[in-house]
Amino acid sequence: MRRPLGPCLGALVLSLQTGCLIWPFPTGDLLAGRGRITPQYISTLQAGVATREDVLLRLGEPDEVLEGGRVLVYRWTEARGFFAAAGGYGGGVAVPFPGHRALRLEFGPDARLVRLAFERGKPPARPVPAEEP
Amino acid sequence: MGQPHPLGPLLGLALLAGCTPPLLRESTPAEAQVEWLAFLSDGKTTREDVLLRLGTPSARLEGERILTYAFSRNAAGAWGRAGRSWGRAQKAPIFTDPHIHSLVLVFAADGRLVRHSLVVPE
Repeated sequence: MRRPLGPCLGALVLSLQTGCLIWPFPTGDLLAGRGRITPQYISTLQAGVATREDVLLRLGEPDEVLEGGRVLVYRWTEARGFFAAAGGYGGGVAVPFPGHRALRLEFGPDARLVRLAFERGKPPARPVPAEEP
Repeated sequence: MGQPHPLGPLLGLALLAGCTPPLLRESTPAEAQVEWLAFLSDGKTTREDVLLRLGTPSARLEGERILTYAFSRNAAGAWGRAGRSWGRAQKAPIFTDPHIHSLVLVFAADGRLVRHSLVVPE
């Protein structure tokens, strides 16, 4: 889904009036994950045809393996913009706006791909693992 | 003459930056034949060879039939194993190095390698 351009440009102009900068456009930075997965790249993975093996060879190691391998999830976080403020002595701070993305793939009992879907937003809460000693 | 706006350079950097983060892709045959992977040969290499050369895999799927390894380059240009760290924002262990190479190895029932690929960021 594309962002409406008008409000984004409005935020940019207004922020410049206050000495800071809200940049509401993607900067191309990857904040976490191995890389972005595009629909074009996975167009060869057809439901009912591709196997779990085909998916892994195409996408590499998944970030999550759920339900004993029935579901594989690939996650990455892109910078969807940033907030920047200038400080004294030429200093400043820039904070990126994270855009969480995921590709979820579900498999049947025969290990064939049943469904795949791109997801947005923060992943569901999971318990934080204990720190390694 | 007014002073240059301090945010000018930041704005310039943002405009210069590409708008697409690194994309995943399968490596070319030449990229997959780097020195430390040259021993991999479909139909010949065994799971034992792989474990002895590369060590403990970062993930095992379908029992031991599919093994994966994650590698990245350090500042000196040497390849080494890459690990995940707990991403508080993602609420999951996730790779934070954007230059991870993911090696996927598929073995037959007799333990011989049948297919493999290296997935890299573009």
